[in-house]
Amino acid sequence: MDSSNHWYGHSHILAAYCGLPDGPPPPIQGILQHGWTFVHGFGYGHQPPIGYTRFVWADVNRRRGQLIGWRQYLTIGAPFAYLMATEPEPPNAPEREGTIWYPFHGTADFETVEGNHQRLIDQIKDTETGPVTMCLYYVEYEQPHVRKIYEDAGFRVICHGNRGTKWAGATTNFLHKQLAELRRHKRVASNRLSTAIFYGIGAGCEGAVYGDPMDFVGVKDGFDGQRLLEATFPELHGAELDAIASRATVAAELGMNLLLSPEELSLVLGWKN
Amino acid sequence: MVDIRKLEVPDTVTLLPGATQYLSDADATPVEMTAAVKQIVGDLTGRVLVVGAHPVAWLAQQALTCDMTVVVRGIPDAAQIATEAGEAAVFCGSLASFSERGFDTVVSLTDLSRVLSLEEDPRTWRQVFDDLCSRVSEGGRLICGIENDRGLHRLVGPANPRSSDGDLDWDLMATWDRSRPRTAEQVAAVAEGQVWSCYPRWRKTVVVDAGELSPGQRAARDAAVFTAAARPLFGPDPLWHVEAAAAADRTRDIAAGWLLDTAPASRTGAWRTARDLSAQELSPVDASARPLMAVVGELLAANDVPRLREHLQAWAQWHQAHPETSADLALTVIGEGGEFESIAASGEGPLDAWAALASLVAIARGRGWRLPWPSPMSDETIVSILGAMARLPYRSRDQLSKLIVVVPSNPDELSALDKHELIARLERETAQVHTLRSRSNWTELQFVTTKVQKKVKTTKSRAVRAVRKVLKKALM
Repeated sequence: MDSSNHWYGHSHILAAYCGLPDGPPPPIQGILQHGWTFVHGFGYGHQPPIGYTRFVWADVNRRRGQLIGWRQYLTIGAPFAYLMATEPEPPNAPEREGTIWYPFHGTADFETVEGNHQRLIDQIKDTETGPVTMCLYYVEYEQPHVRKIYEDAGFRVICHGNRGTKWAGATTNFLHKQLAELRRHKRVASNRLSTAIFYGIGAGCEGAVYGDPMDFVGVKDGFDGQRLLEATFPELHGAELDAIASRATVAAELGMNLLLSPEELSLVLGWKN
Repeated sequence: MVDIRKLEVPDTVTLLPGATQYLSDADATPVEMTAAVKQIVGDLTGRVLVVGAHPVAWLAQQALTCDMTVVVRGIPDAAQIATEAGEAAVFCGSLASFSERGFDTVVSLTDLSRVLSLEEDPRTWRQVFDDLCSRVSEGGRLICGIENDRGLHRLVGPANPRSSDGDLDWDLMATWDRSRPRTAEQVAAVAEGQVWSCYPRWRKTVVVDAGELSPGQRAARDAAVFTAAARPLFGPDPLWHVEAAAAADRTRDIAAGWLLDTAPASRTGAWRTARDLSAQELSPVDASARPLMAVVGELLAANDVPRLREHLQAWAQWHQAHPETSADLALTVIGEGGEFESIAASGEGPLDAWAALASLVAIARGRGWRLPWPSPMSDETIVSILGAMARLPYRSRDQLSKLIVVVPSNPDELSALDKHELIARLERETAQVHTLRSRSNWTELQFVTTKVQKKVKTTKSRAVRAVRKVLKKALM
C-alpha cells in the first residue's frame, strides 16, 4: 500500500502493537496520517484512493475531510500514541533537563524553510534558561551550513533519522529515538505549531511555540496555517503554555484516548481476517 | 466537493478557536429572509449579535441601523460578510470561544446544529441554546430558529439526516439528542416567548403562525400552507401530508421548524409571503373551507367528472362576479356550503381563469395526480376541456399554449425524488408507454384494414397475416 505508511516507522510501531513478528510489516489496507495537520489529515500530495480507509489520528480530521468530499475515514489515534502506550516512561527515569527545540522544517518533496537562523538563535537564548538540544529534520540536518549555525551557537544538534521515500530509507525506529529524546527534556519548543510539539507535550514536556516562524517557501495553497493556528490554538502558542489546556488539546489531536485494541487494529488495517 | 485553496481572511475578521477553513453555510443553510420571517424579526436596533449563517444582504442592511456583531463558523462566510457587510464586526469560530455578552438582541435563525463548529467536540442542543441565552442582556431579546425533525420537508425529502451523505451533512448534535425540542409545545417550554411555526420549507418560510388561531384563521393558514407546498411542480406530492395534517388539526406538527422570540412584538395570527413578496396577514375564512385546488385534485383523481364540472362552473361564476380577485385555485377556498373565498393578497394574480386552469394542470401533471384523461393527451387539450367544463369563453390552442407552465426538471427540497415518486413515475411512464403502444397498434390495424378493403397492393392472405400479426402485438 502507500509508502507513506512506513514513514517514521509508523507501520512498524503498529505492527509491534498488534503483536506481529519483527520485520517488514504487511501492507496496510489504507493510508495512515503521517503528521499533525490542520487541513484534512493528509499532506498536499496525498490523494488517498476511494475504497481504502483513511486512518487518522483525531476525529476532527474525519469531520474536516467530509467537508471537502472525502469519506471512509477511521479515527485510530497516532502511531506515536501507540508507541507511548507500548513503552510507558519508567518510574525511575532520570530527571528531565533543558529544552529540545525543533525548528520548523521543509520537506523532501515540496517546501523549504528560509529565514534568519541567527535571529532565531538569539530568541532561543533569550527565552531558554537550561541547555538546548536542537533537533533538525533530516532535510536541514544534511545541509552542513545549517547544522553548523546551530552548533556554533553552542547547542547540541541532533537528528532522529530519515522519513523514508518510496518504501526505502526510512529510519524505522525514528519515533523511538524521538520519544527517548523528548523524555530527557523538560521542555519542547518550535517556531511553528507542528507535529513535534504535539509529540513533546504528549510525552510529558512543557510546550512552547515562539520565535521567528521564517518563510515557508513553496507551501501549497491551504497548507500555510500560520495566522489560522495562532488564532485557533492559542493554548499552544507562546513561550509558556497553560499545561492543562495544552495537554488536553494534544491528547485530542493525537487521539490518545481513542486507541484501538490490538485485535481491532489488526482487523481494520487488513492484517487479520 | 470543495477545492483546497489558499486561506483568504480579511484583517477585519477576528479568528477564534473553531474557525473552519473550508466550511461555507452560505449557500446551503441560511434561512431565507422572506417577508413572513422579516415581519417576525423586524428591524434590529441596539447592540445585536447574529450567530450562524444568515443572508449577507440582510446582514448588510441591518448593520446600518444597529451595532451588529456576527459569529460564524466558516472562514469563507466570515470573509464574505466582512467584505459585503462592512459595518458588522465579524468573528469566525466556535460560539463557545466568543467571550462577549450583554447584547440587546441575539438572532440565530439557522438551526443550532449549524452553529456548532466541527472543530469542537459535540455539545447538546440545550448546551448551545444556553450558551446563546447567556449572551442576551437582562430584558433583551432572543430569536432562535429550531428545525423540526418531523417537518413536512423531512417527510417528503429524499433522505433523512442519517442517510444523507453530502459534504455539508453535518449534525454534530446527536440526532436523537433529547434536549432538542421537537414540537411547538416543547419549544414553548424551553423559554418564555412567542413560538412561530414556519411552513413549508425550513430554508424558505412562506407561512408563519403564532399558534393561537381561531378556527377561521386555522383554515386560512392551512390553505396558505397548501398553496406554498403546491409549488414547485416536480416530484413527490407533499400535499397529501398537508391535507392529512390539516384534517387532523395537526398542521403545526408538520411545520418545517419554529422561531422562538423571547420578546415578541404584539403581532399574532398567521402571515404569508404573497407572490409580490409582501407580508400578508391572513384573514379568517369559513372554518370548514378547503383550498379549491385540493377539492379539484380529489375529483380529478376520482375521475368524478360530473362533480368536477359542477365545481368549476360555480368557481367560474364566482370569479366572474369578482374579477379583481385572484383566480388561482390554490388561493381560493371553498366551504362546505359551496361558498368561495380568496386568501390571495390584494392584487395577487392570476386574474385570468384560463391561466388558473393552466396552473392547475401543471401541478396535477408535475405532482403525478391521477387524471380522467389518457396520459398522451396534451396539457393544452386538458386545459381546453377544463375551460369548456367551466364554460369559460373560448380560447384557441395557440392562445392556451402560451399559458402552459413548463414543469421544471430540477427538484428542490420538497420535490426531490423519493421512493414514492420513483415508483409513481415508473407506473405513470409504464402506463404512458402502454397507452402509446396501444394507440400505435390501433392506427396500424386501421391502416392495414383500409388497405385490405381497398385491395391496395396486397393479397387477401397477406392482409390476413398482417392483421393477425397486428392483433397479436396489440394484445401483448
